[in-house]
Amino acid sequence: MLELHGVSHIYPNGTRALDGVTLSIPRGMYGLLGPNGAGKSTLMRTIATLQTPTEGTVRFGDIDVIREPEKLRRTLGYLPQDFGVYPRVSAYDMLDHMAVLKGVATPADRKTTVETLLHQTNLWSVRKKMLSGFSGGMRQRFGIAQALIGNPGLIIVDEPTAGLDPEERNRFLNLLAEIGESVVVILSTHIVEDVSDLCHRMAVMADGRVQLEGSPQQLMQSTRGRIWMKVIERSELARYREQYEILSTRLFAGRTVVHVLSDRDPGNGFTSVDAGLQDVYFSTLAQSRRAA
Amino acid sequence: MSAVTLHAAPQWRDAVLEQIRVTGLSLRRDALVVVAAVLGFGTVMIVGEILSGGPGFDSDETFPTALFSFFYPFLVWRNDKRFGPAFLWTLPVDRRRLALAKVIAGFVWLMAAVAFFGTWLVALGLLADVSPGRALMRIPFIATIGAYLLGSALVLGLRHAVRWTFGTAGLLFLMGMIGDIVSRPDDSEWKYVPGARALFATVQQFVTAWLNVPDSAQWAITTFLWFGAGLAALWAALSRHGERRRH
Repeated sequence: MLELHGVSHIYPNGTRALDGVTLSIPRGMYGLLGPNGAGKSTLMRTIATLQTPTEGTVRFGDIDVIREPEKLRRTLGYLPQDFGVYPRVSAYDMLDHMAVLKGVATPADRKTTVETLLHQTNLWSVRKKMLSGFSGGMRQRFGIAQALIGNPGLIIVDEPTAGLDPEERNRFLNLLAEIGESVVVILSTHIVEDVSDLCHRMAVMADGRVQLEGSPQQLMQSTRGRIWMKVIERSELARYREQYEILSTRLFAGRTVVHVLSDRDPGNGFTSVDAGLQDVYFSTLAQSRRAA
Repeated sequence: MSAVTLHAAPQWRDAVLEQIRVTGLSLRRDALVVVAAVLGFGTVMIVGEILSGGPGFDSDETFPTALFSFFYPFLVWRNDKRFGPAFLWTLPVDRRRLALAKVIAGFVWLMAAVAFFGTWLVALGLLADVSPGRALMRIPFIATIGAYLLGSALVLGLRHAVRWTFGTAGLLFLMGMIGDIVSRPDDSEWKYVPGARALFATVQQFVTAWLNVPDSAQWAITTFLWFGAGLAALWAALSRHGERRRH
Protein backbone atom coordinates (compact mmCIF):
# COMPACT_ATOMS: atom_id res chain seq x y z
CA MET A 1 0.00 0.00 0.00
CA LEU A 2 1.13 3.51 -0.78
CA GLU A 3 0.55 6.05 1.96
CA LEU A 4 0.89 9.79 1.71
CA HIS A 5 0.55 11.96 4.75
CA GLY A 6 0.36 15.77 4.74
CA VAL A 7 2.27 16.12 1.49
CA SER A 8 2.71 19.76 0.46
CA HIS A 9 4.85 21.29 -2.21
CA ILE A 10 5.61 24.94 -2.79
CA TYR A 11 7.53 25.89 -5.93
CA PRO A 12 10.27 28.55 -5.74
CA ASN A 13 7.90 31.10 -7.30
CA GLY A 14 5.54 30.65 -4.35
CA THR A 15 2.92 28.47 -6.07
CA ARG A 16 1.49 25.94 -3.65
CA ALA A 17 1.03 22.96 -5.97
CA LEU A 18 0.18 20.48 -3.21
CA ASP A 19 -1.53 21.35 0.02
CA GLY A 20 -1.54 18.69 2.73
CA VAL A 21 -2.38 15.70 0.56
CA THR A 22 -3.18 12.60 2.61
CA LEU A 23 -4.09 9.40 0.79
CA SER A 24 -3.96 5.64 1.28
CA ILE A 25 -3.73 3.86 -2.03
CA PRO A 26 -4.34 0.11 -1.98
CA ARG A 27 -3.40 -2.52 -4.53
CA GLY A 28 -5.30 -2.26 -7.83
CA MET A 29 -6.13 0.61 -10.15
CA TYR A 30 -6.44 3.97 -8.42
CA GLY A 31 -7.70 7.00 -10.33
CA LEU A 32 -6.54 10.49 -9.64
CA LEU A 33 -8.87 12.91 -11.32
CA GLY A 34 -8.57 16.64 -11.59
CA PRO A 35 -8.49 19.56 -14.00
CA ASN A 36 -5.26 20.90 -15.46
CA GLY A 37 -3.29 22.65 -12.73
CA ALA A 38 -4.92 20.66 -9.91
CA GLY A 39 -1.56 19.32 -8.73
CA LYS A 40 -1.85 15.79 -10.13
CA SER A 41 1.41 15.83 -12.05
CA THR A 42 3.27 17.36 -9.12
CA LEU A 43 1.91 14.58 -6.93
CA MET A 44 2.88 11.94 -9.51
CA ARG A 45 6.41 13.34 -9.77
CA THR A 46 6.68 13.42 -6.00
CA ILE A 47 5.68 9.77 -5.68
CA ALA A 48 7.97 8.90 -8.60
CA THR A 49 10.92 10.40 -6.66
CA LEU A 50 11.45 13.16 -9.22
CA GLN A 51 10.92 15.93 -6.72
CA THR A 52 11.07 16.23 -2.98
CA PRO A 53 7.98 17.70 -1.33
CA THR A 54 8.34 20.70 0.94
CA GLU A 55 6.70 18.72 3.73
CA GLY A 56 4.92 15.45 4.42
CA THR A 57 5.74 11.77 4.18
CA VAL A 58 5.34 9.18 1.44
CA ARG A 59 5.67 5.48 2.24
CA PHE A 60 5.38 2.47 -0.01
CA GLY A 61 5.28 -0.66 2.14
CA ASP A 62 8.40 -0.44 4.26
CA ILE A 63 10.10 2.16 2.02
CA ASP A 64 10.31 5.79 3.09
CA VAL A 65 10.13 7.32 -0.38
CA ILE A 66 11.48 10.73 0.63
CA ARG A 67 14.53 9.35 2.40
CA GLU A 68 15.21 6.32 0.24
CA PRO A 69 14.24 7.30 -3.31
CA GLU A 70 16.79 4.92 -4.82
CA LYS A 71 15.04 2.04 -3.05
CA LEU A 72 11.63 2.92 -4.46
CA ARG A 73 13.11 3.14 -7.95
CA ARG A 74 13.85 -0.56 -7.70
CA THR A 75 10.14 -1.31 -7.64
CA LEU A 76 8.78 1.60 -9.64
CA GLY A 77 7.34 1.72 -13.14
CA TYR A 78 6.69 5.24 -14.36
CA LEU A 79 5.03 6.46 -17.52
CA PRO A 80 5.27 10.25 -17.59
CA GLN A 81 3.21 12.60 -19.76
CA ASP A 82 6.23 13.43 -21.83
CA PHE A 83 8.11 10.27 -22.69
CA GLY A 84 10.63 11.26 -25.31
CA VAL A 85 14.05 9.66 -25.11
CA TYR A 86 16.16 8.50 -28.03
CA PRO A 87 13.65 8.77 -30.88
CA ARG A 88 16.13 7.24 -33.33
CA VAL A 89 16.43 3.96 -31.48
CA SER A 90 14.21 0.96 -32.23
CA ALA A 91 11.59 -0.20 -29.74
CA TYR A 92 13.51 -3.42 -29.10
CA ASP A 93 16.82 -1.68 -28.51
CA MET A 94 15.24 0.91 -26.27
CA LEU A 95 13.47 -1.68 -24.12
CA ASP A 96 16.70 -3.63 -23.88
CA HIS A 97 18.44 -0.42 -22.77
CA MET A 98 15.84 0.25 -20.10
CA ALA A 99 16.09 -3.36 -18.93
CA VAL A 100 19.83 -2.99 -18.35
CA LEU A 101 19.31 0.24 -16.45
CA LYS A 102 16.66 -1.47 -14.34
CA GLY A 103 19.11 -4.17 -13.33
CA VAL A 104 18.10 -7.05 -15.63
CA ALA A 105 21.72 -8.05 -16.04
CA THR A 106 21.95 -11.25 -18.06
CA PRO A 107 21.32 -11.13 -21.81
CA ALA A 108 19.08 -14.21 -21.62
CA ASP A 109 16.85 -12.63 -18.95
CA ARG A 110 16.71 -9.42 -20.90
CA LYS A 111 15.74 -11.19 -24.09
CA THR A 112 12.89 -12.97 -22.32
CA THR A 113 11.73 -9.78 -20.59
CA VAL A 114 11.85 -7.63 -23.72
CA GLU A 115 10.17 -10.17 -25.96
CA THR A 116 7.41 -10.90 -23.43
CA LEU A 117 6.67 -7.20 -23.00
CA LEU A 118 6.65 -6.52 -26.73
CA HIS A 119 4.12 -9.32 -27.20
CA GLN A 120 2.07 -8.21 -24.19
CA THR A 121 1.80 -4.65 -25.49
CA ASN A 122 1.16 -5.81 -29.05
CA LEU A 123 4.31 -4.13 -30.36
CA TRP A 124 6.16 -7.21 -31.55
CA SER A 125 5.50 -6.52 -35.23
CA VAL A 126 7.00 -3.02 -34.93
CA ARG A 127 9.90 -3.92 -32.64
CA LYS A 128 12.49 -2.81 -35.21
CA LYS A 129 10.78 0.49 -35.96
CA MET A 130 12.29 3.66 -34.53
CA LEU A 131 10.35 5.27 -31.71
CA SER A 132 10.09 8.51 -33.68
CA GLY A 133 7.89 6.68 -36.18
CA PHE A 134 5.42 5.46 -33.55
CA SER A 135 1.86 6.77 -33.35
CA GLY A 136 0.64 8.26 -30.06
CA GLY A 137 -1.01 5.00 -29.02
CA MET A 138 2.02 2.88 -29.90
CA ARG A 139 4.22 5.25 -27.93
CA GLN A 140 1.97 4.94 -24.89
CA ARG A 141 1.97 1.15 -25.16
CA PHE A 142 5.73 1.26 -25.40
CA GLY A 143 5.70 3.49 -22.33
CA ILE A 144 3.74 0.86 -20.43
CA ALA A 145 6.11 -1.86 -21.65
CA GLN A 146 9.12 -0.01 -20.25
CA ALA A 147 7.23 0.72 -17.02
CA LEU A 148 6.61 -3.02 -16.54
CA ILE A 149 10.27 -4.01 -16.74
CA GLY A 150 11.43 -5.65 -13.52
CA ASN A 151 7.89 -6.49 -12.27
CA PRO A 152 7.32 -3.24 -10.39
CA GLY A 153 5.12 -3.11 -7.31
CA LEU A 154 4.12 0.50 -7.98
CA ILE A 155 3.15 1.80 -11.42
CA ILE A 156 2.43 5.46 -12.09
CA VAL A 157 0.81 6.56 -15.34
CA ASP A 158 0.38 10.27 -15.89
CA GLU A 159 -2.30 11.39 -18.37
CA PRO A 160 -1.78 8.30 -20.56
CA THR A 161 -4.76 8.59 -22.88
CA ALA A 162 -4.53 12.29 -23.75
CA GLY A 163 -4.48 12.62 -27.52
CA LEU A 164 -5.27 8.98 -28.31
CA ASP A 165 -8.01 8.05 -30.76
CA PRO A 166 -10.91 5.95 -29.31
CA GLU A 167 -9.53 2.64 -30.60
CA GLU A 168 -6.04 3.23 -29.25
CA ARG A 169 -7.49 4.49 -25.98
CA ASN A 170 -9.55 1.35 -25.63
CA ARG A 171 -6.57 -0.87 -26.35
CA PHE A 172 -4.44 1.04 -23.87
CA LEU A 173 -7.07 0.87 -21.11
CA ASN A 174 -7.45 -2.89 -21.62
CA LEU A 175 -3.72 -3.24 -21.21
CA LEU A 176 -3.77 -1.21 -18.01
CA ALA A 177 -6.68 -3.27 -16.66
CA GLU A 178 -4.68 -6.47 -17.23
CA ILE A 179 -1.73 -5.32 -15.16
CA GLY A 180 -3.70 -3.53 -12.47
CA GLU A 181 -4.76 -6.63 -10.57
CA SER A 182 -1.74 -7.42 -8.47
CA VAL A 183 0.15 -4.16 -8.04
CA VAL A 184 -0.56 -0.55 -7.11
CA VAL A 185 -1.35 1.40 -10.28
CA ILE A 186 -1.99 5.14 -10.04
CA LEU A 187 -3.72 6.58 -13.07
CA SER A 188 -3.63 10.35 -13.18
CA THR A 189 -5.99 11.88 -15.70
CA HIS A 190 -8.52 14.60 -16.39
CA ILE A 191 -10.65 12.20 -18.45
CA VAL A 192 -13.49 10.96 -16.26
CA GLU A 193 -14.25 7.91 -18.42
CA ASP A 194 -10.73 6.55 -17.92
CA VAL A 195 -11.35 6.39 -14.18
CA SER A 196 -14.92 5.11 -14.37
CA ASP A 197 -13.85 2.34 -16.79
CA LEU A 198 -10.88 1.10 -14.82
CA CYS A 199 -10.52 2.16 -11.20
CA HIS A 200 -11.74 0.53 -8.02
CA ARG A 201 -10.93 3.64 -6.03
CA MET A 202 -10.36 7.25 -6.92
CA ALA A 203 -9.69 10.74 -5.65
CA VAL A 204 -10.61 14.12 -7.09
CA MET A 205 -7.96 16.81 -6.79
CA ALA A 206 -8.34 20.55 -7.21
CA ASP A 207 -6.18 23.46 -6.05
CA GLY A 208 -3.53 21.07 -4.77
CA ARG A 209 -5.91 19.37 -2.34
CA VAL A 210 -7.79 16.08 -2.31
CA GLN A 211 -11.42 17.16 -2.52
CA LEU A 212 -13.04 13.74 -2.59
CA GLU A 213 -11.94 10.15 -2.13
CA GLY A 214 -13.64 6.76 -2.36
CA SER A 215 -14.87 4.14 -4.80
CA PRO A 216 -16.63 5.44 -7.94
CA GLN A 217 -19.84 3.63 -6.88
CA GLN A 218 -19.77 5.20 -3.39
CA LEU A 219 -19.15 8.63 -4.80
CA MET A 220 -21.93 8.32 -7.35
CA GLN A 221 -24.22 7.11 -4.55
CA SER A 222 -23.44 10.23 -2.55
CA THR A 223 -24.91 12.48 -5.23
CA ARG A 224 -27.93 10.26 -5.91
CA GLY A 225 -31.14 12.31 -6.13
CA ARG A 226 -29.26 15.62 -6.42
CA ILE A 227 -28.62 15.67 -10.15
CA TRP A 228 -31.34 17.08 -12.43
CA MET A 229 -31.45 17.22 -16.18
CA LYS A 230 -33.26 19.25 -18.81
CA VAL A 231 -33.00 19.71 -22.58
CA ILE A 232 -33.08 23.40 -23.49
CA GLU A 233 -32.43 25.64 -26.47
CA ARG A 234 -28.93 26.96 -26.76
CA SER A 235 -30.15 30.54 -26.54
CA GLU A 236 -31.63 29.82 -23.09
CA LEU A 237 -28.36 28.69 -21.58
CA ALA A 238 -27.25 32.08 -20.25
CA ARG A 239 -30.53 32.52 -18.39
CA TYR A 240 -30.31 29.03 -16.90
CA ARG A 241 -26.77 29.69 -15.74
CA GLU A 242 -28.04 32.66 -13.74
CA GLN A 243 -30.88 30.68 -12.15
CA TYR A 244 -29.29 27.28 -11.46
CA GLU A 245 -26.00 25.72 -10.48
CA ILE A 246 -25.18 24.11 -13.78
CA LEU A 247 -22.68 21.25 -13.52
CA SER A 248 -22.28 20.40 -17.17
CA THR A 249 -23.72 20.98 -20.59
CA ARG A 250 -23.52 18.92 -23.71
CA LEU A 251 -25.12 18.98 -27.12
CA PHE A 252 -27.54 16.28 -28.22
CA ALA A 253 -29.26 16.45 -31.63
CA GLY A 254 -28.54 20.15 -31.86
CA ARG A 255 -30.08 20.98 -28.46
CA THR A 256 -28.39 21.55 -25.14
CA VAL A 257 -28.65 19.07 -22.30
CA VAL A 258 -27.93 20.67 -18.94
CA HIS A 259 -27.23 18.94 -15.64
CA VAL A 260 -27.77 20.91 -12.46
CA LEU A 261 -26.99 20.16 -8.83
CA SER A 262 -29.83 20.69 -6.39
CA ASP A 263 -30.94 19.08 -3.10
CA ARG A 264 -34.58 19.70 -4.06
CA ASP A 265 -36.52 19.38 -7.31
CA PRO A 266 -35.71 22.61 -9.13
CA GLY A 267 -39.07 22.37 -11.00
CA ASN A 268 -39.34 24.07 -14.37
CA GLY A 269 -39.37 20.74 -16.22
CA PHE A 270 -36.17 19.30 -14.75
CA THR A 271 -36.13 15.52 -14.25
CA SER A 272 -34.02 13.53 -11.82
CA VAL A 273 -31.24 11.43 -13.37
CA ASP A 274 -28.79 8.88 -12.00
CA ALA A 275 -25.54 10.61 -11.24
CA GLY A 276 -22.59 9.58 -13.36
CA LEU A 277 -18.99 9.97 -12.32
CA GLN A 278 -18.82 13.06 -14.49
CA ASP A 279 -21.56 14.68 -12.38
CA VAL A 280 -19.67 13.78 -9.22
CA TYR A 281 -16.51 15.26 -10.67
CA PHE A 282 -18.12 18.50 -11.81
CA SER A 283 -20.04 18.95 -8.56
CA THR A 284 -16.80 18.50 -6.62
CA LEU A 285 -15.07 21.10 -8.76
CA ALA A 286 -18.01 23.46 -8.32
CA GLN A 287 -17.85 23.07 -4.54
CA SER A 288 -14.11 23.61 -4.63
CA ARG A 289 -14.56 26.82 -6.62
CA ARG A 290 -17.21 28.06 -4.20
CA ALA A 291 -14.94 27.36 -1.24
CA ALA A 292 -11.98 29.18 -2.82
CA MET B 1 4.01 -2.87 7.25
CA SER B 2 4.68 -5.17 4.31
CA ALA B 3 8.17 -5.57 2.89
CA VAL B 4 8.43 -4.64 -0.77
CA THR B 5 10.23 -6.94 -3.19
CA LEU B 6 12.99 -5.01 -4.94
CA HIS B 7 14.67 -5.97 -8.18
CA ALA B 8 18.43 -5.68 -8.51
CA ALA B 9 20.07 -2.33 -9.19
CA PRO B 10 22.34 -2.30 -12.25
CA GLN B 11 26.09 -2.56 -11.92
CA TRP B 12 28.00 0.64 -12.77
CA ARG B 13 29.95 -1.22 -15.45
CA ASP B 14 26.74 -2.42 -17.10
CA ALA B 15 25.32 1.11 -17.07
CA VAL B 16 28.44 2.50 -18.78
CA LEU B 17 28.49 -0.23 -21.43
CA GLU B 18 24.79 0.27 -22.05
CA GLN B 19 25.21 4.03 -22.41
CA ILE B 20 27.97 3.44 -24.95
CA ARG B 21 25.69 1.14 -26.91
CA VAL B 22 22.59 3.32 -26.91
CA THR B 23 24.54 6.55 -27.52
CA GLY B 24 26.11 4.89 -30.55
CA LEU B 25 22.69 3.80 -31.79
CA SER B 26 21.16 7.24 -31.37
CA LEU B 27 24.11 8.94 -33.14
CA ARG B 28 24.26 6.53 -36.09
CA ARG B 29 22.49 8.71 -38.61
CA ASP B 30 24.26 11.93 -37.62
CA ALA B 31 27.60 10.13 -37.70
CA LEU B 32 26.98 8.99 -41.27
CA VAL B 33 26.15 12.53 -42.39
CA VAL B 34 29.21 14.01 -40.65
CA VAL B 35 31.54 11.30 -41.94
CA ALA B 36 30.29 11.71 -45.50
CA ALA B 37 30.61 15.50 -45.33
CA VAL B 38 34.05 15.58 -43.71
CA LEU B 39 35.55 12.86 -45.83
CA GLY B 40 34.08 14.19 -49.04
CA PHE B 41 35.00 17.81 -48.40
CA GLY B 42 38.40 16.98 -46.88
CA THR B 43 39.36 14.59 -49.67
CA VAL B 44 38.47 17.11 -52.35
CA MET B 45 40.41 19.87 -50.52
CA ILE B 46 43.56 17.87 -49.83
CA VAL B 47 43.70 16.01 -53.12
CA GLY B 48 43.00 19.29 -54.91
CA GLU B 49 45.87 20.95 -53.06
CA ILE B 50 48.23 18.12 -53.85
CA LEU B 51 47.29 18.06 -57.53
CA SER B 52 47.70 21.81 -57.92
CA GLY B 53 51.13 21.67 -56.34
CA GLY B 54 49.97 23.51 -53.21
CA PRO B 55 51.19 22.83 -49.66
CA GLY B 56 48.84 19.83 -49.23
CA PHE B 57 50.08 17.79 -46.36
CA ASP B 58 53.12 19.95 -45.86
CA SER B 59 50.82 22.62 -44.50
CA ASP B 60 50.91 23.08 -40.74
CA GLU B 61 47.19 23.81 -40.59
CA THR B 62 45.29 21.68 -38.08
CA PHE B 63 41.77 20.39 -38.54
CA PRO B 64 39.08 22.01 -36.37
CA THR B 65 38.43 18.81 -34.42
CA ALA B 66 38.54 20.73 -31.13
CA LEU B 67 35.71 22.98 -32.30
CA PHE B 68 33.70 19.97 -33.39
CA SER B 69 34.27 18.15 -30.10
CA PHE B 70 33.17 21.23 -28.16
CA PHE B 71 29.76 21.15 -29.86
CA TYR B 72 29.52 17.36 -30.07
CA PRO B 73 28.13 16.98 -26.48
CA PHE B 74 25.12 19.04 -27.59
CA LEU B 75 24.42 16.26 -30.08
CA VAL B 76 24.98 13.51 -27.51
CA TRP B 77 22.54 15.07 -25.02
CA ARG B 78 20.01 16.51 -27.44
CA ASN B 79 17.26 13.98 -26.64
CA ASP B 80 17.73 13.97 -22.91
CA LYS B 81 15.90 16.24 -20.55
CA ARG B 82 18.92 17.24 -18.51
CA PHE B 83 17.22 19.26 -15.79
CA GLY B 84 14.02 19.07 -13.82
CA PRO B 85 11.98 15.92 -13.42
CA ALA B 86 13.57 13.90 -16.22
CA PHE B 87 12.11 10.50 -16.86
CA LEU B 88 15.49 8.71 -16.84
CA TRP B 89 16.07 9.83 -13.26
CA THR B 90 13.37 7.40 -12.08
CA LEU B 91 15.65 4.48 -12.94
CA PRO B 92 17.59 2.80 -10.16
CA VAL B 93 20.93 4.33 -11.18
CA ASP B 94 22.47 7.27 -9.34
CA ARG B 95 21.78 10.45 -11.36
CA ARG B 96 25.36 11.69 -11.31
CA ARG B 97 26.72 8.30 -12.28
CA LEU B 98 24.23 7.95 -15.11
CA ALA B 99 25.20 11.39 -16.42
CA LEU B 100 28.89 10.53 -16.10
CA ALA B 101 28.28 7.23 -17.91
CA LYS B 102 26.82 9.17 -20.80
CA VAL B 103 29.80 11.55 -20.88
CA ILE B 104 32.07 8.50 -21.02
CA ALA B 105 29.91 6.99 -23.77
CA GLY B 106 30.16 10.19 -25.80
CA PHE B 107 33.92 10.23 -25.26
CA VAL B 108 34.30 6.65 -26.48
CA TRP B 109 32.47 7.47 -29.72
CA LEU B 110 34.41 10.70 -30.13
CA MET B 111 37.67 8.79 -29.83
CA ALA B 112 36.37 6.23 -32.32
CA ALA B 113 35.60 9.08 -34.73
CA VAL B 114 39.02 10.65 -34.17
CA ALA B 115 40.69 7.27 -34.75
CA PHE B 116 38.74 6.86 -37.99
CA PHE B 117 39.63 10.40 -39.05
CA GLY B 118 43.30 9.78 -38.19
CA THR B 119 43.32 6.59 -40.24
CA TRP B 120 41.87 8.46 -43.19
CA LEU B 121 44.50 11.19 -42.81
CA VAL B 122 47.29 8.63 -42.67
CA ALA B 123 45.95 6.95 -45.81
CA LEU B 124 45.82 10.28 -47.63
CA GLY B 125 49.27 11.13 -46.27
CA LEU B 126 50.66 7.91 -47.71
CA LEU B 127 49.16 8.81 -51.08
CA ALA B 128 50.81 12.22 -50.88
CA ASP B 129 54.10 10.72 -49.71
CA VAL B 130 53.91 12.31 -46.25
CA SER B 131 54.91 10.45 -43.09
CA PRO B 132 52.00 9.15 -40.94
CA GLY B 133 53.35 11.10 -37.96
CA ARG B 134 53.20 14.36 -39.87
CA ALA B 135 49.68 13.60 -41.08
CA LEU B 136 48.49 12.89 -37.55
CA MET B 137 50.09 16.09 -36.28
CA ARG B 138 47.20 17.89 -37.94
CA ILE B 139 44.78 16.58 -35.30
CA PRO B 140 45.08 18.54 -32.02
CA PHE B 141 44.36 15.59 -29.71
CA ILE B 142 44.72 17.34 -26.38
CA ALA B 143 42.58 20.29 -27.40
CA THR B 144 39.99 17.90 -28.84
CA ILE B 145 39.66 15.99 -25.58
CA GLY B 146 39.74 19.16 -23.50
CA ALA B 147 37.09 20.81 -25.65
CA TYR B 148 34.88 17.72 -25.30
CA LEU B 149 35.17 17.89 -21.51
CA LEU B 150 34.37 21.60 -21.49
CA GLY B 151 31.46 21.15 -23.91
CA SER B 152 30.06 18.32 -21.78
CA ALA B 153 30.42 20.45 -18.66
CA LEU B 154 28.54 23.26 -20.37
CA VAL B 155 25.70 21.00 -21.48
CA LEU B 156 25.38 19.33 -18.08
CA GLY B 157 25.98 22.41 -15.97
CA LEU B 158 23.80 24.98 -17.68
CA ARG B 159 20.09 24.76 -18.25
CA HIS B 160 20.32 26.91 -21.39
CA ALA B 161 23.72 25.89 -22.69
CA VAL B 162 23.05 26.88 -26.31
CA ARG B 163 21.94 30.38 -25.31
CA TRP B 164 24.99 30.82 -23.08
CA THR B 165 27.39 29.62 -25.76
CA PHE B 166 26.03 31.73 -28.57
CA GLY B 167 25.34 34.64 -26.23
CA THR B 168 28.96 34.68 -25.07
CA ALA B 169 30.26 34.29 -28.62
CA GLY B 170 27.95 37.08 -29.77
CA LEU B 171 29.08 39.35 -26.94
CA LEU B 172 32.75 38.81 -27.77
CA PHE B 173 32.05 39.47 -31.43
CA LEU B 174 30.16 42.65 -30.55
CA MET B 175 32.97 43.86 -28.28
CA GLY B 176 35.46 43.29 -31.08
CA MET B 177 33.28 45.20 -33.52
CA ILE B 178 32.82 48.09 -31.11
CA GLY B 179 36.56 48.18 -30.49
CA ASP B 180 37.13 48.25 -34.20
CA ILE B 181 34.69 51.10 -34.72
CA VAL B 182 36.05 53.15 -31.82
CA SER B 183 39.67 52.75 -32.92
CA ARG B 184 38.98 53.50 -36.59
CA PRO B 185 40.17 57.13 -36.49
CA ASP B 186 43.73 56.01 -35.64
CA ASP B 187 43.94 52.43 -36.80
CA SER B 188 41.56 49.62 -37.66
CA GLU B 189 43.06 47.28 -35.09
CA TRP B 190 41.30 46.96 -31.74
CA LYS B 191 44.56 46.91 -29.81
CA TYR B 192 44.73 50.71 -30.09
CA VAL B 193 41.50 51.20 -28.19
CA PRO B 194 42.45 53.10 -25.00
CA GLY B 195 42.35 50.68 -22.08
CA ALA B 196 42.73 47.62 -24.28
CA ARG B 197 46.36 48.51 -24.94
CA ALA B 198 47.49 47.22 -21.54
CA LEU B 199 45.50 44.02 -22.00
CA PHE B 200 46.98 43.49 -25.43
CA ALA B 201 50.51 44.04 -24.07
CA THR B 202 49.93 41.46 -21.35
CA VAL B 203 48.58 38.92 -23.83
CA GLN B 204 51.54 39.60 -26.11
CA GLN B 205 53.99 39.05 -23.24
CA PHE B 206 52.22 35.81 -22.33
CA VAL B 207 52.31 34.55 -25.91
CA THR B 208 56.00 35.42 -26.23
CA ALA B 209 56.78 33.60 -22.96
CA TRP B 210 54.68 30.66 -24.11
CA LEU B 211 56.45 30.39 -27.44
CA ASN B 212 59.80 30.29 -25.62
CA VAL B 213 58.82 27.39 -23.38
CA PRO B 214 60.52 24.11 -24.41
CA ASP B 215 58.24 21.83 -26.48
CA SER B 216 57.88 19.06 -23.90
CA ALA B 217 57.16 21.50 -21.08
CA GLN B 218 54.67 23.35 -23.28
CA TRP B 219 52.93 20.09 -24.08
CA ALA B 220 52.75 19.13 -20.40
CA ILE B 221 51.40 22.53 -19.38
CA THR B 222 48.86 22.53 -22.21
CA THR B 223 47.69 19.04 -21.34
CA PHE B 224 47.42 19.89 -17.66
CA LEU B 225 45.50 23.10 -18.35
CA TRP B 226 43.06 21.57 -20.84
CA PHE B 227 42.38 18.43 -18.85
CA GLY B 228 42.40 20.18 -15.48
CA ALA B 229 39.99 22.86 -16.61
CA GLY B 230 37.78 20.33 -18.42
CA LEU B 231 37.62 17.87 -15.53
CA ALA B 232 37.04 20.61 -12.95
CA ALA B 233 34.21 22.06 -15.03
CA LEU B 234 32.73 18.59 -15.55
CA TRP B 235 32.88 17.83 -11.83
CA ALA B 236 31.12 21.11 -11.05
CA ALA B 237 28.47 20.40 -13.72
CA LEU B 238 27.84 16.85 -12.48
CA SER B 239 27.43 18.07 -8.92
CA ARG B 240 24.30 19.91 -10.09
CA HIS B 241 22.73 16.52 -10.76
CA GLY B 242 23.05 15.13 -7.27
CA GLU B 243 20.06 13.58 -5.54
CA ARG B 244 18.10 16.10 -3.50
CA ARG B 245 16.50 14.61 -0.45
CA ARG B 246 14.96 15.87 2.74
CA HIS B 247 16.00 14.24 6.01
